This record gives sequence, structure tokens and C-alpha cells, in this order.
Amino acid sequence: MTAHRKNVLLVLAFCVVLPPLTAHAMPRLLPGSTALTLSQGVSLGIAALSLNLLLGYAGQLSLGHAALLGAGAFGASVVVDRWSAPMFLGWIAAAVVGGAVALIIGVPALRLRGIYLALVTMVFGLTMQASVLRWQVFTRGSAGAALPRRLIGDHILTNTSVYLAMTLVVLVLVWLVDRNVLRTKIGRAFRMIREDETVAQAFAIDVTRYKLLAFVLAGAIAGLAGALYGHSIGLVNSDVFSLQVSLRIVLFVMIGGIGTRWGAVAAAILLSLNTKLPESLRGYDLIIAALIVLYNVVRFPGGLAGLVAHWRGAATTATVADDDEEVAIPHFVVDHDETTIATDEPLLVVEEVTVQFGGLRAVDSVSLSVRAGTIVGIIGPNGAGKSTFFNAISGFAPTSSGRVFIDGRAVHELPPHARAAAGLARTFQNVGLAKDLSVRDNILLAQHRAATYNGGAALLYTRAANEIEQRLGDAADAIVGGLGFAARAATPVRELSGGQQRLVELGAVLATGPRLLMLDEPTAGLSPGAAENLADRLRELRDDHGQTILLIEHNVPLVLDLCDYVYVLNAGALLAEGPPRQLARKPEVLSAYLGEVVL
Amino acid sequence: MTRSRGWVWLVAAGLIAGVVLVSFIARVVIQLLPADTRDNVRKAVRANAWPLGGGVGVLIATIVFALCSTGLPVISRPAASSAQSVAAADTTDTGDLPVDTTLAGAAGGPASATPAGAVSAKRAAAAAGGARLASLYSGAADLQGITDDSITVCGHAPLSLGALLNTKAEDILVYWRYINDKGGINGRKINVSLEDDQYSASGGVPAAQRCAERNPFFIFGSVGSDVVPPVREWAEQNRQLYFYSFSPRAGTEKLKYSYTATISLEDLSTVIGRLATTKFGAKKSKVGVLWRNSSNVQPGRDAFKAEVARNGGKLVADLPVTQSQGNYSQEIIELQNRGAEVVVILDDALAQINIMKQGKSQNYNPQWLVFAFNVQTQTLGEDSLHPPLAGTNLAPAYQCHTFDGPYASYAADIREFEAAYAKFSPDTDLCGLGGDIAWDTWVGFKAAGAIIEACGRDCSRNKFAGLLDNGYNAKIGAACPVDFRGDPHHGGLYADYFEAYRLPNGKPGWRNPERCLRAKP
Amino acid sequence: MGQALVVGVIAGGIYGLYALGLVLVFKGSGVLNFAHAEVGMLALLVAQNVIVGHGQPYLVGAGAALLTAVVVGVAFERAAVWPLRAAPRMSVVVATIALLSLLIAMELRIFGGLPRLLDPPIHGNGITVFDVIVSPTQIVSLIVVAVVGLALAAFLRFTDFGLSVLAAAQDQEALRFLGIRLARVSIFTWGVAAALSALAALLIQPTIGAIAPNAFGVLFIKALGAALIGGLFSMPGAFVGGLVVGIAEAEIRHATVSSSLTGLPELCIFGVVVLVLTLRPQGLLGRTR
Repeated sequence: MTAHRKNVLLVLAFCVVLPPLTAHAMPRLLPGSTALTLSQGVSLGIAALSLNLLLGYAGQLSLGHAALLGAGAFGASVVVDRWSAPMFLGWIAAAVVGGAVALIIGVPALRLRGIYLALVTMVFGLTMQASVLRWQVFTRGSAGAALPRRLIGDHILTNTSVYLAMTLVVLVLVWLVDRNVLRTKIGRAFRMIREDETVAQAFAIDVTRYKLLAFVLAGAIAGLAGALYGHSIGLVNSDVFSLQVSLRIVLFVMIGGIGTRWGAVAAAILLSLNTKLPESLRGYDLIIAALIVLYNVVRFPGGLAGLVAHWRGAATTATVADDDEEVAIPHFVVDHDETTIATDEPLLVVEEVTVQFGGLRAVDSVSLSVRAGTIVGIIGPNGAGKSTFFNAISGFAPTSSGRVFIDGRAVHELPPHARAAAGLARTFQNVGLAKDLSVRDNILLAQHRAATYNGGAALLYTRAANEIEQRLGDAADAIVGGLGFAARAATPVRELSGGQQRLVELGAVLATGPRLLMLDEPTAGLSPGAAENLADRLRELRDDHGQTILLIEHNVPLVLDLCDYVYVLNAGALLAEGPPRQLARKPEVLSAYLGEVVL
Repeated sequence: MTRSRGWVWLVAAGLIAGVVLVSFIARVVIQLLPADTRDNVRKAVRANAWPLGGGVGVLIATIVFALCSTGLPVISRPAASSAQSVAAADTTDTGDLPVDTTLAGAAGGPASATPAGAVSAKRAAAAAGGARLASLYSGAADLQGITDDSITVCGHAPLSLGALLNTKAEDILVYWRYINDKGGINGRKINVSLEDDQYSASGGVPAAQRCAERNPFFIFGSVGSDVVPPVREWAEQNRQLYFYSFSPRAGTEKLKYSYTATISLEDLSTVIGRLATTKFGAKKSKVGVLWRNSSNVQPGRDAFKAEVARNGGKLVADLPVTQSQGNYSQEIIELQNRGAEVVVILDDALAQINIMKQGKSQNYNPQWLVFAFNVQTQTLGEDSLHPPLAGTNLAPAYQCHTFDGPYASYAADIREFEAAYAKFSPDTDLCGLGGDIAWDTWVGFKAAGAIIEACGRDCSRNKFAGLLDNGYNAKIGAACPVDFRGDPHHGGLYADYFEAYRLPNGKPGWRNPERCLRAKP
Repeated sequence: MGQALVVGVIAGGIYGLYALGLVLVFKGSGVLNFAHAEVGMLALLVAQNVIVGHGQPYLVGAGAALLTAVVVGVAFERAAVWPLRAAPRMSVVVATIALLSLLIAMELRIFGGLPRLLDPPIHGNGITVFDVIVSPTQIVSLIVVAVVGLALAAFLRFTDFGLSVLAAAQDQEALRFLGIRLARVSIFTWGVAAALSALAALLIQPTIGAIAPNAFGVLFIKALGAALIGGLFSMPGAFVGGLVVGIAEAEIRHATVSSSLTGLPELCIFGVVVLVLTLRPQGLLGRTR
């Protein structure tokens, strides 16, 4: 049974079975007002799911979520109360309004990190409560906006148990959408962005677009939650969506464990029942919740990521695997759609690139070209500007002048993720992977470019999306197996040794099916034997698969042995270039560089 | 719950028509698209046929299910006025202020053992006695909350605000304990409970919902221009008899389940407008108004404005304020700049006190015209006499243990009130902030009790509503007359005029220079 | 016009006092304390309880308020800030958010959600200065703000301990070498910031009317706006920022008093906050770092 079919069956099962079951069982179990309270709890649970998406996946902390709920509720009110449309249309309107408002916050949020984003969202929430949500034109002042549970015309749903059933159905649907986010490229992109935006860009993820998408998705769900909440009471005014509500939602998410859905929802529903507590106990629930969160933050100071790792029950007995002295680097499994034939046409052309930081010229008018199907090396003493040059080519360092062409196409105006999408893959000195994700997830993440279904298909987890995901999953399994990590496919990368991480990174960049593979010091941290091994594999890639490789290296003998062409950089400028044999004899290279090398 | 067959067919037809319409529109839109987009759309739809179909099916199933299982309101037939036969005259109209009239023929039939039998017996007796019934309920619902020896009522009240004024729930409910101690009404004890509505628009409905679970005879609501209107709507949808207090009249045109014996916000604002322009000398006709920014309070502001204009006054400042705004310094500056000499405040007691205190600290002492509560004279102290505060309220002035002077005309009621509190709630400080609150609710409850008594031994919900529909009017206790003849759902027409003055003991208090003012003189 | 200005200046001074506390903590610990205003609210509720509930004189209540605030501030510093001194700053911020929730929950539990009234200690008519009326409470406010601000500035600049507080923001390692106990500096920072919050709350209470939990959310925005104008790094800047916010708020309110669009000053502050954070994070008055 494919995941897709399971999905559909789940939806049908919940939506068809749940309403009658709930509606008939509820009145016998609970009085009407309890059903009302529970439906409010469910609404807040949906809001918690929305914040969880933003915080747990995308790493953005919003303290003004109540404003999004309020926007949704008031949007629904306009549709249901002023235009007398059925309640369901109001829900759709609420989601639209919520998403739109979130987009408005999302745009400045692109520039803000962590604490400042939390600040802006909190101020946003408070401001909305104090101003816009009180204007008569929207909410009739303190009279509030009416949200009748209009079914059609004048017929209002008065049975609170039925309404509870409806909210549960919506909860399930939102849950499923959330699950679809998690297991498709959207969720992986979010988590990569949260970990390291630079590396995300290197995997062809358009960070800006995905950040905005995170906000819009979260906003739409929050708006929907606000409408559900408002409909349960029947009326909302600005005091309903206050800072306290925002904080409660944050508490739910943090107690439930960032990244776990059911914990947040359970917290929301349970804590909503606090009005049923006897007077003497009321109010302690929130105190305890806040204390738990405080305790967690202090105990696990790895920041929010630390909280995630802990709650996921990740094996904290992180036995870092022994270094892979003896492990032979396996053959890479490469799945190339395009076969590259070594031609005389240069794959990569770099013309007169200059990178300037203030008065310092880190890279001074360097030109370079790489023919398809060859391995080109860049060497030079420390501080020569090699990594900066790499960054300039891949788009991570701004160039003050110069041009870059891939396959004849000008890419020097493109952002890094677009250059990655054009076939440029690179590694990083500090290992460009999502360290909290598992090995397999990282390989899947790397295949972002190959996940050709669009956002909508991802959210609905259509059959097409399912097929592509299956294919990518199989490919990932093959790669992971090929690397020798089959037993550790689910291990977070963070728990591997340095050498193992580099291996995984190599496997990941190859999984992107790149036109040009840029390796930044690939043998750093490897034993000489392992380094030789790696060189053999790279040679294999070039000879058997026609892979074009550009690499930076300190291991000069290896470079001289492996590369077809070598460039020497010194103090930002191109010192010399040529085939390795020739270069080794050039006096300026020898004098500038060879003194450092231990042969 | 009944529903007509025709309605079901109508809805089904509507659904089908809707589906047809939507698919037609979709088809047209698809035609308009460029060819490649159209292919993409078709491919996408075909690829996702299962989920799309499933989703649509679920949506329809849920709608159908919800419609079928909801308690749809009975399409109520027109109210009693045209339905039943006119029998004997139901009130003895002895001039302007009839005293404690009851429904003639209310001596119902023999109390029957079984409820079903009781219903028919009571109905028969009532009809025989000439009472006209409303047709809001049928069957057992007509007798919800009423048995042979008890009536259950429940109310929503701003217990939070009350606590601010040192008033607890027990303090307010003394009237009913007093009545029950004397044997109840028509041989029935009255069980009363309260739910906190937090004096907020969103708190009323949940409180009313909790009340509804006790299956009350009727639900009553206390003050709150923002609290009451949503509860009125809820009562209409849930078919609960709702007896509310001070509120705007706007929005009540079609409501059949809600009644009030209190003057409406619009009418009271008209009275205030007249007072503001005529009471304080022809020179002082520059008026300012501070009103809570809410579409429930705006009708009051509009009525006030109209009356001021009609009386030749000048409205120099029209300032909306936010609920619980707290800081009114800018508004006071504006009032000062405009030279407003009489200032009306249409907001809750807390806001009024804040405004007046902040005005005082900014050396602004106009003639304030507010809702009169003892908390104001007690909190403002000497400042409330320079110039003496003026105001209106729905029950006459009260000063603890004072029965003479301005209070003499209803001294008997005050004595009854204080004796009851001494017996049943001696801890309530009638001389403190909550004393007149207790008095106001006593007066209000007494009116409600009188109507319940008028309903008689064979009372039912239809009969109770019918009583009001057919023009119940009476003068009950110290209150101004209640008169449902003009509008069957609004029986309150009067308010009392208040003025702060110095009590014999030197402290400031309130008295009524005039009583029972009407909007239309 | 003049009257509105006076109101604005008095309020602005109090906002400046709030902002001082915010900036002090930001400089000392690198953390923006989201619970800053709420500590003051808790203190205010305690004061109200002592003065009105137990019939004590005003100064006793004020003292209780300051004591409560300091206790909360120091307790939080010991429990959360000090253990997290090496952790990313975001963790401490999350801790302050948890503290904010905790404070609100405690206030609701202990004092209930009802609004409460508190009389200012000084009654009497205002005096008229240049056609503008200043009430005694406002005068006291002004004096207290000025005295406290100057005293704090003097302490920080002219005493050894004060200098170490200022320096702690710059370089903690160097301080350790100099043998200065960082723990003491940290306790001082958070304790004083909490006390400032309580003081500001007491001063602003007469203009707010009733006291209720979470009524101080809006106040936090204003304190934040004030601090941001100064760039979060400059204490005099925060003070000036407070005055700017106060005066701007008063003028905007004055101009729109008849309009039914509420909350316009808050909207403006929001706009300023967003603009400052995205375009000029060093604040309008700060230097580029």
C-alpha cells in the first residue's frame, strides 16, 4: 500500500467516520458547554500546529501568533456575518487572510534573525490588538465581530457537539497537511534553512521563497484556527486575541516538544479544560507549564535545536564512530541524467573575478576555465584567497567585478541557489550538511532539484508527488548503501566522525547530479591512505562518469597526481597555471609554495 | 424537532444547482485559459482525481450530515396576538400607575400529577381563563425549568466587575432567598444561579451556554451594552427565553425570545440629552460626550446627539474612547480646549471614575453627567460636590440606613431590603461600594418576581412570554412602572434623574430630584 | 498644544526609565528581556495589595513593590541567566519569554484577572505654569525620573563597580582577569533593571487607571521603541528615545482624539520598530558597529 493511498484512506476514514461518531457520542459524555470548550482547545491545537511548523521546521519564533488568528477570525466574520455566506467559506476566507497577513510579516522577517524576529512579531501582535483589531470598520469596536455558525441562509448550527466534530475533522486535515510538509521537499528545505541557510542555498533551495512559504503556510493555518475559535464563541473582539493567547500557543509548542505535533495539540486541548477545574486549582496549569518550559530551556541550552534533539529522543549516547582508517571509501553511486562527454568546450569560465572587502582585495582579477570531464585543482598558501574564490564562483561572496559562465550561460548575476540549480555543487570546509537530520534525510535533501513536484502537490501529497518521493527514496537508499552507511542511515549526521561526515557530504553533493563538482579541501582530516582512496574514487568519477571536478587542496602531491590542470593562487592573484608536470618546475611556484609542503 | 419536507428538497436542489453552476463556471474558465495551461490543469486534475474527489465528497458529506443533525429552529408561527381568542380583559387599568395587577383568570386549573397531563391541563385552564399564550415552545419545552414546587432561572453577570466593587454573587441573590423563605412565588421556590460573563462581548455567550445546561425557565442578563447583544442572538438561535437588562434597542427588531423591562440605551441617551441641555441653565449648553467606541454604544451617542440638537444645545466635543482605555488625558485636554461645560460619559463605571479623577487632576471640573453609582461619590469624595455630579440610573437612589428626606417615598421598600440583607447576608456592607449595586439588583429582581407571580400557578414559558406580549404593565416596589403595551419586547420606558448632594453626616450621596423620566415626554 | 506636550514629556520620562532597564540588561547580558514590563506589573499588584488590601501607607507599598521586583529579577538571574551564560543568546531570550508567561500566570492566580484601583499618594490641584497645568503627581514623576536617571548614570560612570558593569558588556574575559566577580555584576544588572521596571510602573499607574495583568503589553512596545531609538546600546539614547516616544504619542493622540481609529500611536511605533530593525539595527542614534 503506497504512502499516498494510505494518506487518502486516512483522510476518508477520519472525515467520514469521525463526525457522526463524535456527534452522537458527545452529548452523552459531555455537556454542551464542555464541547464548546473542547472545540476552543482544538482550535488552539491547530494554532499550535501552525506555530510548530514555523518554529520547529523553519526555526522562526513568532510571538504574535494571536494576531494571525485574529486576522483570520475577522476575515471570516466579514464573509459570514456581513455577506451571509456559509461558515465553510468563512474558513477559507480566514485561511486566505491569515496567509496574506503572514506574508506581510514575512517580508521584513527575511532580514531578521532569532531575537529580532521574535521582537517584531510580538510588537505586531500587541499593536494589532491595540489598534487595528479595535477599529469599528473591521470589528465594530468593542462590540466585536459576530461569527455565527451559519450553515446556509438563516440556519445556524446550534449543536456544539457537531461543531466539535467539525473542528476535529479540520484538525485531522491540518495534521495530514503538516505531515505532508514534513516528508516532502518542503519540510526538508525548511529544516535545512533553519540549520544553515548558506548550505541550503548550495542545495538549490531558494531560501527567500521558502521562508516566505513557511510564513504563508503557518499564517493560513493560524487564520483557519482563529476562525474556528471565533465560531465556537460566536463573537470575537480584540481582547480575545491577546498577547496571552500568543504566549499560550508558544507554551503549547514548547511543552509538547518542538517538532512533535501530537504533544503540542495534546497540550492545547488539555490546557483548555482548565476552566473545568475547581476554583482552587485553576491557574496553576499555566504556571506549571511556564515552569516546565523554563526548566527545559535552562537544562538544554543547546538552544532550540538542542530542545529538538532531546525531544526527538535522539540517541544521546552519541558514540562517535571510530575513525575510518580502515574503511575503504566505497564506489560512489552516481545517477546522471545527462552524460557529459569531455569536449574542448569549457564547462566553467571565470573571467577577471575580483572580490573586495573594504580596502582589501581578497581575490584580484582571477580568471579560470574548466573543461568538461576534467579535474582541475586550485592550490596556494594559506590566505591566498582560494576559499573566497570558490565562494565567488558559487555565489556566496559578492564580486565587485568579473563574470562567471556555466555551459556558456552567464550566472554571475544569479543568487547562489540559482547557480546550484544550474548544476553547480560544492562542499564546505565545515561540512555542508543538516547535522540534525539523519544521513538518509540529508541525501534526500540533496536531491531537492530532482523533486519536481510543486508546492501544492507536496501539501496534498498527490500520487505524482508520491511517485517522485519513492524514486528519490530509492535513490537515496542506494547512495547510502553505496557509501557503506546502510546500518546508520537513520543516525543524525552530528553523531558521525569528521571523516564520515565528509563522506556523507560527498555522497550528498553527488546526489544532486551536478554538472560541476566543487570540492573545498576534500582530503582534510583524512589519513594518507584514505586520501589516496578518495583520489581513486574521484578519478573513477571522471573516467567512468565524465564528472567535471574543481577542487581546492593543500595536499600538493595529490593534486599534482590527480588533476588535469592546476591553478596557483597567491595573495589573491593568479600566480601560475598549467598542467601539473609543468607547474611543478616553475620557480615562482616553488618559491611561493613548496616550502610549506612536506613531501 | 420538525422540519418541512419541502425544505429538505429545497436544500438538495440547491446543492445540485450549486454543483452544476460551479462546474459550468469551471468549464468556462478552463476554456479561457491558454492551451498549455489547460493541458497542465487537466493533467493535474486527472493525476489527482482520487484526492480531489475524496475531498469534495467529504465536504458534501459533512454539510449534509451537519444539516440533518442540527436542531433547526421551528419556523415559529406569528406571536399570540393574532392566534388565540380574546377572552376577558387581562388587566385592570386603573390610570397611570396601577399597583400589582395580576392576570385575571390566572387561578389555574387543578395541578395534575403527570407532566403531560399537567401541560394539557394547564393549557386548558389558561385558555379557559382567557390568558393569551405565546407560541414559542411546544411539548415538554414549554415546561422546562418549572415544576410543581420550583422554578429554575440562571443569569449571566459581570462577577469580575462586581468583585471590583466588593460585590459577590451571594450578595446579589439575597432577594430570592428572601422570597423562598416566605414560601416562594405561587408555592414554588425559585432556584437562581449566576455565571460570570466577565463584562466582555465574548464572555456572554459561553456564560449563557453554561446557564442553558441547567435547563432554566428563563435566562436573565444584567448590564452590558456589549455583553447582551450577542447573547440575544444566541438566545434566538437556541430558543432560550432571555430576560435582559440595560442594552441598546438596535438589532432587536426580529427577536422573539428576548425581553427587557429596562429602558433602552437609545431612550436613556435621549433623556440624558434633554437633561444636558435643559437642566443646567441656558448658558451651559456646550455639551461634550465621551462614548465607548463600539457599534453597540454608537446608537446611544446618535440618539444623544439628536436630542441635544433638538433642544438647541451645541455638541462641541464628540470623543470615542476605547474600552478600558485607562488614560484620558488627551480627551480631557480636548474637552477643555473646546470649552465643554456639560460632559456626558457613555461607558462603564470604572471608566467614568477614571475620567472624572483625571479631569480633576487637570483642573477640569465641568458638569459631569454619568450613570449614578455610590462608588463615584465615595471614591471622589468631596470632589463629587463641586459641581455636584448629575446622573441617571434605573433604580432610585439608595443610602444605607436612611429612610427619610429624598428616600421617604419608597422607605418601606428600603426597610424590606435592609431587613432581608440583615437576615440572609449580614456580611454584605450595604454602606460600602456595593451597597447600591445590591439595591439596584433587588429592585430589578423584585420586578422579575412580580412578573413570575403574575404568571400564576399554571405558569409555563409560553404563558410567561404571552403575559409580556399582551401588554403587561405594573408599578412594582420602588421601581418606575413597567409597561409592555407599546412594544411587547421592551417594557422599560423610564429612568430616574440623580444629583449628588451632601448627606446629613457630611458625606456626599445621591438623591433623585426627579423620578421616572421618559424619552418621549 | 502645550498641555499635550507636558503630558508627553512626563510619560516620555517614564518610558525612558523603562527603556533604561531594557538597555541595561541588553548591554550586560546581550539579551532582550521580554518580561521587563511585566515584572513591574507584578510589583504594582503587590503594592496595590499592600496599600489597599492591607491598609498600609503608600511608601510601604512602594517599598514592597521594589523589593518584589528585585527578588524576581535576581531569582531569574540566578536560575536562568547565569547557568546559560555560555549558551546562545536565543536560549536566554526564550527563558525570558517563559518568565513572561510565568509572571502573567502567577498574577492571574494570585491576584485574579480583575482590574484594581490604586490612588496616587498625592492629591490636590495642579499648578499652572505658562498656561499649562501640571498636577502634583506629574511633578513628582518628573523629579523621581530625573533623580533616578542621574543617580544611575553617576553610579555607573563614577564608581568602580559601576564601571565594571559597563565594561562587562564589552569584554567578560578581561574582567575575569581583573578579578571582578562577574556573578556580582550580573546580579546587579538584573536586579537594578527589575527595580527600574517597578519604579516606572508605580509612576505610570496614575495615568493608566486600573491595574490588570497583561495591561502592560502596550507599555512594553513603548519601552522597546524608546530603547531601539537609542540603539539598545546607549543608556542616554534610551532616555532620549523615551522622551521622543512619549511626546510623539501625546501629539498623535492629541491630533486624532476625535477619530474612532484607536491605537494610532502604537501603529506608528510598530512602524518605527520594524524600520529600525530592518534598516538601521544600530538605532537612530547609535553608531554603526
